[in-house]
Amino acid sequence: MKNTNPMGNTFTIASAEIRALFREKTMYSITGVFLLMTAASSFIGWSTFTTADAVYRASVVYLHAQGVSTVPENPLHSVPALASFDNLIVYILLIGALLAVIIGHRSFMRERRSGILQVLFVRPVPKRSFVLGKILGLGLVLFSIMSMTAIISIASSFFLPLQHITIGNVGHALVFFLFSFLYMLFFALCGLLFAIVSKSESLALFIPICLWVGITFVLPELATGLTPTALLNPVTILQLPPLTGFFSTAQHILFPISLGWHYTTISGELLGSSFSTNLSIGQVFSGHWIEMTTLCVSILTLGLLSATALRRFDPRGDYVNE
Amino acid sequence: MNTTTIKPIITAHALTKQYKDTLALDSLDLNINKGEIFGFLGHNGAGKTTTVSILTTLIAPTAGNATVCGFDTQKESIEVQKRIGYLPENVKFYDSLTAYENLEYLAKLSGVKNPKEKIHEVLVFLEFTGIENKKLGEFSKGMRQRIGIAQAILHDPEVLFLDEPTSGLDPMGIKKLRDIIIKLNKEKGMTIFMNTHLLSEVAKTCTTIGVLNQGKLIYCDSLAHTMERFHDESSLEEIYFTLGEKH
Amino acid sequence: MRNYVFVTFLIFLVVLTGISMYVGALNFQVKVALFEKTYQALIAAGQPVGNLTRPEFFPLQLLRATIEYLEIIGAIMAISLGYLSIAKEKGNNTLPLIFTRPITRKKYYTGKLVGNAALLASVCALLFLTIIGIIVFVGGVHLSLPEVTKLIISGLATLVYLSIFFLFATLCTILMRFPSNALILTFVVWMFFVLIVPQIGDTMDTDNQVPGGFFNALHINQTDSHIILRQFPLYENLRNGTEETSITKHYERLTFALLGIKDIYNGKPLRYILLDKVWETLWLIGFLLAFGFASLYAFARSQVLWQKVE
Repeated sequence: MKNTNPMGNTFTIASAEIRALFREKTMYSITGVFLLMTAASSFIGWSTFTTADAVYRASVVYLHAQGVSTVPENPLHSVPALASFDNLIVYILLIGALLAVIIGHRSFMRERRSGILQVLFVRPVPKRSFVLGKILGLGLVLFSIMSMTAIISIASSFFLPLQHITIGNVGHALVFFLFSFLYMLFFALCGLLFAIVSKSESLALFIPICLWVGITFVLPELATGLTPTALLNPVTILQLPPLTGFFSTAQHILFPISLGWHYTTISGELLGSSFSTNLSIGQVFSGHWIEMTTLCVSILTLGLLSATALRRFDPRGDYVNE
Repeated sequence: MNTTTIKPIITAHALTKQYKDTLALDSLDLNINKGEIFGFLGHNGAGKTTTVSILTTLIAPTAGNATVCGFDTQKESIEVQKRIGYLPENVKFYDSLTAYENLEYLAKLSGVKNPKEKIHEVLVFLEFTGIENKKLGEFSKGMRQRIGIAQAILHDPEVLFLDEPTSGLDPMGIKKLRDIIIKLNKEKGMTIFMNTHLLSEVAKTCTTIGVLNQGKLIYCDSLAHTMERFHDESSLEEIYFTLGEKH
Repeated sequence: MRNYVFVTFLIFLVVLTGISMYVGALNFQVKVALFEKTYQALIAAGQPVGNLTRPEFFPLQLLRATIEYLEIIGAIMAISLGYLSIAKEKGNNTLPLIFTRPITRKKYYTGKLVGNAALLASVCALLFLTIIGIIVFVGGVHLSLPEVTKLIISGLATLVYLSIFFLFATLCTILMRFPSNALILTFVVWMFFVLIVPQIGDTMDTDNQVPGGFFNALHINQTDSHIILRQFPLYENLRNGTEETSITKHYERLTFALLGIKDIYNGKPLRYILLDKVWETLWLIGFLLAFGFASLYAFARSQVLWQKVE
């Protein structure tokens, strides 16, 4: 009889997943937009910085002309070396997470739309191998997208520098991208889970998008009092003064589920852009071990829920293309 | 005298399936022997696809149990899946992949050791070569059915389940399919379980027939014995209608 | 299903309206508390307090976050409505049955638009009535007639804004073979013009480079900062030009002016505000008409609508 090799099946499914994702035109479009925004972010950061520097010099001339003898030092000198990456925090919160939802959603919807599930599920492949293969495939695709983002951003920071970049800075940046990959993986698994459990294609997409809105905007608003668009300004969110009263209480209560806010805080510290500057990578993660554990537990939980949902999934069910 | 009891290759005992307000299967008992070509007949909504779905491990019964090749379809589903092939009604594939890519993927999942060789062997057997690099999206209905059969037999299953295999095929396509089924049975010794509406095809292909009516098995016997028993009826069609009227 | 999705978003939006107004009120309390603290400290130190400005409460300014949620989530809701109004027909393959009846495509589509416009109008009415209810009955604050009028016009602007996204979603769903691809495209475009482009504008703002404000750090007031920035016309035009491409920014500028969220318009008469914001109004109406006609034309001509989606 045929040998069934669970690990072999997992890798077969993962490689089929990667091949299918890289053949989809929609994937190329969205990934292209994301990488374009990454490149644009580096350029915008650099041009804004150099313009602000020129504005400072013009301000000095203006103030001297007004009779002001002592002009404050250039505030841009305290801007950290990796400040041009600050916009990436926002882009990953927005585009990166949405891209991940779409990748996860397409991963299983492709099977449902094609109608091949009846043929797949009579193969001697345990459901958990199927889900693991999907997650592995998704993870590798996201990892490759993050790698390209990292290459573009780090290369840009050498060609369009704000400050002198050290090897330590590069190390911090790489860890930031790895951490961003984990954050995106969470949303990819949201997309996958709801693609399995939802009756229709659009509901499968809308629910994780609602979750994304809640995590990205609503929870941080409750915890900080910042309006949604203020949350998109990296300088504002990374240099928030200490909270009091309701917001301090809300932050404590919402702490376990404020994944978007944890991502912002930890990323800010990794890039040296928050109040807690010059922390080592170890110090950043040891100071936020609860948040990291929450993220990892969330990812594991979504994986387990996906496997459970798949066991109950009826592949003969009517696919609702709406 | 050597008396060996032949164990049926497919068994169902008190198989029941309830969907919300609908009783799709009502205590179905079935025994199919190795080497048979079993034609499963019944009206639309009789429960034929539900039966096949249970036997192929896709869904669980509400009550009762079924075995295929001696393994329970629920408790030993992996063992069953190693030994069966399944062609669903209106089989679907990844349209953006070629025929070869689809078959290779499915062959690997079935544990086939040398997918490339096996795919070639199966396509030669089915007299369906030269299409390996064509995308499935460009295939006609008949071509899809043949790729459907190809994927079902890549791993040399002992039992082949076919759900309405002639649905949507033209007369030439139906004849080609009939020839393949008989060839698989005679040359590879495969047991075939076939859901179908086409009584003429059942008469030309099957060795045994079963008739399902509103979830209940109302008739099951060899084709030869059936024709003998209903000698007043001139065709299988008339026998089927007679059985339907009685129930 | 369409009702579930739409109703979910609507409830979400109503809840967010309440939350954001509550948070806005809390923020104001923080401002007042900070003022009191500073005032008392100056008094205790024997310092003059004439320069301190007591925060004044303008109820409509509480709606800043609400408007931003309408920009973001209201747009998603309108997109889902627009998408589903076409996707459902495609998924059920009902259009061949409808168009073998004596009805033109344009009439059929116009009927759809009217029905959905009424739905969006009721959503806007519900939201703004909720806002008035919260301010008057929960907050116990009296709203003057000019303030109510400004709220109603903001509601109309919201209706136009949501309709733009509704029409864009229907247009994409009509034109694309697979409805889910249309949904993804509309979300990407939504994200770009609702979130990214305005964010780029903010990012490029020189004042936002440093926490607390670049010019604040140099002790330069707003008037002087504008004089200095006039020396960088290309950069400022590029920044403003980027923001101009975003329909969301036009909607925001109009509603922030009407509701007095932008301080310079606070307390100004309605006529003054509408005249000053005529450019934003024209952008909104222009987009509405453009997408309206484009989607009508596409629906009347599309062959993709008929293709069975499997």
